[in-house]
Amino acid sequence: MKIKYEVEFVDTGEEFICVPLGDKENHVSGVLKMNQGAKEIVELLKDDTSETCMLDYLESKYDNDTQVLKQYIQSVVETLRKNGLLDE
Amino acid sequence: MIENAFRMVLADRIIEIHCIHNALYRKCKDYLLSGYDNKKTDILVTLHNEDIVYEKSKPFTTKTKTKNGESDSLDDAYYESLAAYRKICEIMPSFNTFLMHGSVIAYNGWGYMFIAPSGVGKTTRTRLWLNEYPKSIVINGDKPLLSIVNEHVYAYGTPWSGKENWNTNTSIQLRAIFVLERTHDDEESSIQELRLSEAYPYLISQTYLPFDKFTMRKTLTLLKTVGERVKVYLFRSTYDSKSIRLAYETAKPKENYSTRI
Repeated sequence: MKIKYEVEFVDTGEEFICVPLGDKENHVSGVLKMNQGAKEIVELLKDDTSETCMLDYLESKYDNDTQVLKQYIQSVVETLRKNGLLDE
Repeated sequence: MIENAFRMVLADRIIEIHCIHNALYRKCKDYLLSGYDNKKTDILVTLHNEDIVYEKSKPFTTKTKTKNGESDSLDDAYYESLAAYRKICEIMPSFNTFLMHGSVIAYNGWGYMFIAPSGVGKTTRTRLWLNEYPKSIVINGDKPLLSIVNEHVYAYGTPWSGKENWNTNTSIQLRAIFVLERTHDDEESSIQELRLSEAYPYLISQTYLPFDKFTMRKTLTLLKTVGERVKVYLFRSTYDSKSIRLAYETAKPKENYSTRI
């Protein structure tokens, strides 16, 4: 899976605003608020990847329980999917 | 000067326009570059029939309601005008300037802006403000340009200013942005300052984002500066002068007593 459009992150100090840039035919409206973890998942999705690869990455970086990280990845992926931002 | 080719000044930039319909010249008459001027053009806009076709193809812009409720086709000059402003706004971020949909009022040396999706009541609140503070002027009632100059945010009048055509060819430093929301029945007006993370989604929803990715990114950065430099309030407002006073009294500069004797 991969993020469909280029995205830009605006750092507001307390969280990130993720802005999909769309393209000429699909001028995307709407933004997503994200914490650092969700931002990292979106960064990983700029290249074609899988939930397993994302889990490996997050496990190498954070001490959280594997199941917690897995659910977190799934929730971020589901949010992106609902907003039509994933190519699968 | 011929009416199909003219130069004007918007947000301190010189715009040269080559158009098909001379209605655009008439629309821009208060903003024309006066007299002979050999300053270089900052933005060159050349309009073609395909620009008009493109504007017509966009949703919600092909028909308008007449007074008797019937739909009426708008003429090509109207679409050409939309196309001209779109082309200008595609380039303006290169000059630290961008379009934000809203109504800007100048009062006591500062600018105050109402933003909201169409239909929430920007025009009504603007009217109420003008009634409450008659010395106010409307900088732009619908599509002002905002410009970042030395880390300060200025709002500029433009000829593109909505149905009421409220605009003044001047600029004002922006002090506050009120994000309008309707109140429920019997709910009193309330106002709450928003943090940048809360304000940004509202601001971006009313901002023209250029198609070009580089310029779009620039716009997002400019927008962040607006959120940092201008106070943004969530304003749940009833339709009365009391709510307007609440907005102004909350946002106006506080008196500096140290300068008093």
